[in-house]
Amino acid sequence: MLQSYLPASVAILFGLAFAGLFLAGAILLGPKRDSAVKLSPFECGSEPIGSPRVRFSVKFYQVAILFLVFDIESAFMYPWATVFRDISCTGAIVRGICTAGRTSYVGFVSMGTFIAVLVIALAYVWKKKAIGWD
Amino acid sequence: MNGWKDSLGNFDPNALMYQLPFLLIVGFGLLVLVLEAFSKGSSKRWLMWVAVVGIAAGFIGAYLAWKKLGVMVPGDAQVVLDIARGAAPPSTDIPYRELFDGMLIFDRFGVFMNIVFLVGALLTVLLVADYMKEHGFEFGEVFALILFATAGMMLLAAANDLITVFLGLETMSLAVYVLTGSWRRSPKSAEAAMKYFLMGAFATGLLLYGIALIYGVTGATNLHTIATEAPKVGSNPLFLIGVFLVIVAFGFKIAAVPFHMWAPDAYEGAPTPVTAFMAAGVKAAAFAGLLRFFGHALGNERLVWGPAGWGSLMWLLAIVTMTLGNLSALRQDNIKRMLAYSSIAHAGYLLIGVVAAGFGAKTAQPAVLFYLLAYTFTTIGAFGVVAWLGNRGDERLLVDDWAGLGSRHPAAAMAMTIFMLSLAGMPPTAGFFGKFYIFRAAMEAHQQLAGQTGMMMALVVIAVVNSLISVYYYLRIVMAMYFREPARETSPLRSPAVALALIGSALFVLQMGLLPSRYLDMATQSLIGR
Repeated sequence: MLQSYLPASVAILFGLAFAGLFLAGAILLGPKRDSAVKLSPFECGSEPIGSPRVRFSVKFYQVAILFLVFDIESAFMYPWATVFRDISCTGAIVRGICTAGRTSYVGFVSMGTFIAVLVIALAYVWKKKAIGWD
Repeated sequence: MNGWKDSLGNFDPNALMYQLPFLLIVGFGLLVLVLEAFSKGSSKRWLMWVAVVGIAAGFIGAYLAWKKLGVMVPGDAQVVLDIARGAAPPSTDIPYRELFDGMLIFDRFGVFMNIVFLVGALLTVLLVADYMKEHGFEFGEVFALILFATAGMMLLAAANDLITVFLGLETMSLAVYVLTGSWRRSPKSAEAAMKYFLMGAFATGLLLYGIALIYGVTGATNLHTIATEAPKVGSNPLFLIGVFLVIVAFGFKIAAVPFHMWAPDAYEGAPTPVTAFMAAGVKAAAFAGLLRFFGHALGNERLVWGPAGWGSLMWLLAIVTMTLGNLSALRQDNIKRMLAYSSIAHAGYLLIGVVAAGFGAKTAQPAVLFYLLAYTFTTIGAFGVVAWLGNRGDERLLVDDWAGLGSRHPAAAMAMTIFMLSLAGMPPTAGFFGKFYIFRAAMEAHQQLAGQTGMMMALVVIAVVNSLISVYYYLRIVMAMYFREPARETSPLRSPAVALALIGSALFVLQMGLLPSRYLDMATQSLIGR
């Protein structure tokens, strides 16, 4: 059973080896001419001001959590899409086509319900002004 | 295109009937949420009535589902119908339905639990509206959250698979965490929510770890498949650890000693009606899960002692929980903390029922159900009187604050006395019969274990001693109310909704104490289906 992981571990090993090789090459071979500008901390091209450990606005968390919620919920559509045919068709599926007169709305309605609940949630956070910044 | 029935495919529309209470509660929860966001005006108190209508619809749904699900047919090993006592004749309807590939099971056990949750939600909704107004933290989402938590409880009560157990537990807990912290200006409420959330999240992690181990060993998450696989895995240590972790996680949720540390702080800090909801609803839901998995699926002699080996562990938990809960409650001057420890002690009594069910006592499941219904009325009533008495900035939580209430507000003092007597387990209240049935089930388990061990007998003796101890601190409040001079003025909440909730629960506590057989009949018909 473990053998099936062999290609993956080989790929990981190669990745590590190459990264290590190039890093070591840069450290060993590259010229080092430090200057005051080069040694200063880099922050998006502008002068760093103050410590990064300051209080953040809670809005960051709100946006992040809303993003996570809707992102993960939309991820549920992928497994649904893969089984959509099977749950919508009561009869045999011949070459990807449901035999005539046997299709149903089960797959459609089940995801429709899910989306409807999501839309209600979206309407709620929208109305509560949780999506905008101010 | 052979008519609309074809468009349903393999989906059986009858399936919706069984989960009608759940669907209605979810629907009304969403409705409250939308109305809250899109309605004008600052007072959201009227949303209470939307929630009440939703819960009433839930009751009707539960009634329809109850009618649709039959009683277990006699001759079946699991039948407990007390036909000699003239219980309803067995119907030939299907006693249970497994839906969604066995993820959920619908039987009368689940419906009975749904009724318990709906009672809890209804009383909480009635209490919380005017409590919020008095203490200045009104917002309408509270009603939606209560409904969502109730939906989670219903999911847990219908769970037939460890995955749905987890889903139900989390749906319920997430809503209750927010409810605990809903009194946003109170630092205590924030502290309570934080503690409850951290401990709850920790318990969830343990539960998932346990589920993963059980799945790893048995290859299943379905409760019954696990039970059939359990003898084959022998005493695989990983399986034992998995079962142990699941017990620990449930121990956190029901606040069993030694996993109870969060409970007094969380109960004290939360808004009082929410505390009532936590003590009644959350606990009842966790016990529904415990009964389904331990009391029933893993509940036969070989598993209780053998590969799963949970019997003696839960026996020990029951003893420590009731003893420590009662002894700690003795020393509390704050009524909310006292009721919190009392709720811990009651979890101990209920654990006796789970152990007895595991040992095969046929009366144990109905006894636990009866106890949960009685306890829901009693404890929400008791917390309700506490919520009723407080004013803004002065919650009046000390026993001294209750001095002389009997002469000032005789009706409220009377109600509180009824609730205290019921918690102490004295006749003629619901609590007496709740304890009586639990102890009777334990003695039945003792007879089934005859000659082997006296552990169930020991459990009953310890429980009786414990309920004697508890009389002291319950009656302390009654003494303060009737035998002490009033210390200072009281101006309790003027709220018809709160009054309705208090009177209603007091009447039900009395009715269940005076005429228990009706409720017991209902409970004996509410067995776990499979």
